[in-house]
Amino acid sequence: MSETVPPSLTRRIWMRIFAATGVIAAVVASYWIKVDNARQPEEPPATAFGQPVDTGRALLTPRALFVLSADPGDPGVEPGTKLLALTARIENITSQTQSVIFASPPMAATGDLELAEPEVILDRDGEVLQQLQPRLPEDVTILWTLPGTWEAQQVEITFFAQIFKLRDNLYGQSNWLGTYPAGSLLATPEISS
Amino acid sequence: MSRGAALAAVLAGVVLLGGMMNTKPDYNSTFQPFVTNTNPGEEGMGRLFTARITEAHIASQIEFDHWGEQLRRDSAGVFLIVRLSASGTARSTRLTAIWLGASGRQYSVSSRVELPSSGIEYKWFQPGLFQRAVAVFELPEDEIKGGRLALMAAGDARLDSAVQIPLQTLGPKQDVTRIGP
Repeated sequence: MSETVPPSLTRRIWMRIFAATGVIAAVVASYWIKVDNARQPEEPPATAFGQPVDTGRALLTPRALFVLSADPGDPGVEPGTKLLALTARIENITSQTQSVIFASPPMAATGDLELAEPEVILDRDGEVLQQLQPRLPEDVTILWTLPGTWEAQQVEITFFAQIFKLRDNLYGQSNWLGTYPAGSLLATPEISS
Repeated sequence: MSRGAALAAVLAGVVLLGGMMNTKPDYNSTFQPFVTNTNPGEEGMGRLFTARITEAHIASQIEFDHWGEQLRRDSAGVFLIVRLSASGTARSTRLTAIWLGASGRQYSVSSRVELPSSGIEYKWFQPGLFQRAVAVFELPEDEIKGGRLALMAAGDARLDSAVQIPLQTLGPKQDVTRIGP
């Protein structure tokens, strides 16, 4: 059996200096990441009409924003209901038919109020958009129901993009994962008679 | 073992592991369905079904009955209407149809054309009983020539069978096609 020789004092000091340096570096780095996040809040980039927003599965180009009256003949529609309508062109940029058009639908906020999830209508049919085929851009209208007390004012619409990962961390399979704000549109809707 | 030899062994191990990590098949390749390619006009046989294309043509518009209401759909591209005859083999089964376009893109059956009585996605195929069904795809016209129909049992297709059948003939383009029940 060989006799264990304890490390020299100099070696022990160096080892502790290295260990302490690592811990201090980790603390400083995590602190700086928090400071940096607080200093630069994640604001989505501003977008405009005619400017395409990449939502991951599709390119969405907003065209016009207006307020219209809901069709009183539609089931469940109360008289006098107003709708906020965003017309847009949308194109599937993946290699297969997409049934999930928006993993997170566009969010409209007016004043302090966030509007409920919108409906996406295919202009061609006047029905809810169910699929997008690759290489076939479609015109759509995104409709939010406005509260009865709403008065004409600026609206902020936030679009979200979904992250595609070719090899996910679990199985290494290609997958659509979480979403993040990809564009913000500020506009005052036209009032349509 | 000398230090040099030990270092060389570690480096060789790292290189080998890196090579394996970068060349191993990914999940999608490993678990993809087993494809059977069928000649145009012939019957393709999968694990749970057998099917043959009986007719195909394209149309600019489609007319069909939807719960008593007559609907007409147009498209930014064209409609490809594929009629086929299929049966289950080992058990009753449902089928999923995909058009693999000439560009490699995959087109699912159009949900804008709901055909509860004849649409392939609605039918059960019983063993030994051939039934007719129709699959309607919405796609750019240049995806048809050079493309093929892929059929697989509905649900999870991983490590199951898929049959790919090219078109033998494509009928003349129609302005409006009416699809009956």
